[in-house]
Amino acid sequence: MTERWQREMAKLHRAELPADLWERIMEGPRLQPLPSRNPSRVIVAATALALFLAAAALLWVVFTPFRTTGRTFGGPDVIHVPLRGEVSPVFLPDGRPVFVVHHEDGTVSVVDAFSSHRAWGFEEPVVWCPSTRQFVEWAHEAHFDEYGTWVSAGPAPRGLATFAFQVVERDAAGDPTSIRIGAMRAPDPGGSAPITEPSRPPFCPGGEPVTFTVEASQVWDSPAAAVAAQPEGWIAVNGTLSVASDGFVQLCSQISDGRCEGAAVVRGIDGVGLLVNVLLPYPNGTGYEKPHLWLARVRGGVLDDLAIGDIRTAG
Amino acid sequence: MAPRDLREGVERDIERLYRESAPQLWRSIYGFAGGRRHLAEDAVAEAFARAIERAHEIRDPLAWIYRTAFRIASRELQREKRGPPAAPDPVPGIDPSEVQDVMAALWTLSPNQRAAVLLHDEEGFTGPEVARLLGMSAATVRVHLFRARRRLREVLGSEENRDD
Repeated sequence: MTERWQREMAKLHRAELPADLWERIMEGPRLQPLPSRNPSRVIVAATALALFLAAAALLWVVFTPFRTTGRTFGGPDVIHVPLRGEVSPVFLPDGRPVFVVHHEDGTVSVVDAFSSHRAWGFEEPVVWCPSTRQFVEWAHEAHFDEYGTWVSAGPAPRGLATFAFQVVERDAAGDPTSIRIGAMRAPDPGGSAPITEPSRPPFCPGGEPVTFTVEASQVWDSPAAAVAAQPEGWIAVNGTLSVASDGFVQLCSQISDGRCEGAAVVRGIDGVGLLVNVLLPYPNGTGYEKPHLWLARVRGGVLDDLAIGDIRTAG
Repeated sequence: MAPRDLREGVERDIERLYRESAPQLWRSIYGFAGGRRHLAEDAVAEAFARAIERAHEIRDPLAWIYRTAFRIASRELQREKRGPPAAPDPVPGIDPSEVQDVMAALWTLSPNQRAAVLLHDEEGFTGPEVARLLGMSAATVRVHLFRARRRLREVLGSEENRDD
């Protein structure tokens, strides 16, 4: 049983192939080549790829200054050694602050700038006092000699850590002029009693202490933005520390009408201890609750290893 | 093997394919083109001629030739932008007036529906074979066939007769 359309179609089946078609084939192609099967798909794919690459390049160009030079301050791999008797504050490639000490006898020490004492979990940088040739902890005033050995005061339990290094270059006298810094070494075990000595020596008599300076363009103004960018190594960030009554610690870009804005969570700080022992008894007396320049590292979406000290900005 | 020997081998293979399949392809393209004989000859001849030139690049020569022939025919029809001829061109074996109605009915279909129904219902290829020859999925071919038949019934009438 067939339908009409099938019977009509069947009539086409009687059409015979032209006899001379093979000869025509052997003459070769005559018509213009066909266009690409799906030219629109090719064009769309190429356009999409070009737009993607352009956008990626634009983002790379826009954010490169913030990612590399603008917001981190890691120093060079090879570090310049100052002249004999001089001390220079430098940042390691990961941004950790250290002092390079060229002793009078021609030897060199690389001394960690973070004190062995961590108050409530804060890293506490030291400064160099040229007049006494000692390092002094900024917050609690422990004193260390130019090799990092504890000398007096503070609750610092041991000396300052030092770093191994390789001499890269020497001058004509044989003194190192540049070094490549290696692994951290354990500090001298000698330190103060847990409780600060009642009589502290002067902080830095007869002179201005030497400390670290960060370019203003390298400082983050928003802790939240810094955390979101996930920079590697140490960063410098402006902010006001906020400690809630339950000890929850945040760093805010500012506190407005009691609200913490542009905040990032801070890990590793004893918020309750800080609140009970410092913030409540001595409001406005410690600097913690005021805007401050902090050093920190971003890890796992929070600020870690928060350091407070005499860190300055320039430019 | 010398290039000339290679080409002669390719020509023999394509010629064998031509003897086996060109009549079916020719009829399909003739119906696809609304009975334009020269357009169908051009499309079929061009497809085989190009297959000889590019034989080393082609994995499935028969499917490649079918697809190329239908694409050439489509392009030429699109270039002409005309409806079916008033009467199909005469070709050996059929009276043009006999196929005028079916040509007009086929012309109401989309090119893909037309190609599918010609290969399946006129030349007797199976659904998967049509899919392979036109470079479509079998499901797509089924949809084209369903719509093409429905349209042909509408145009040519739906009365049914028993073949004796």
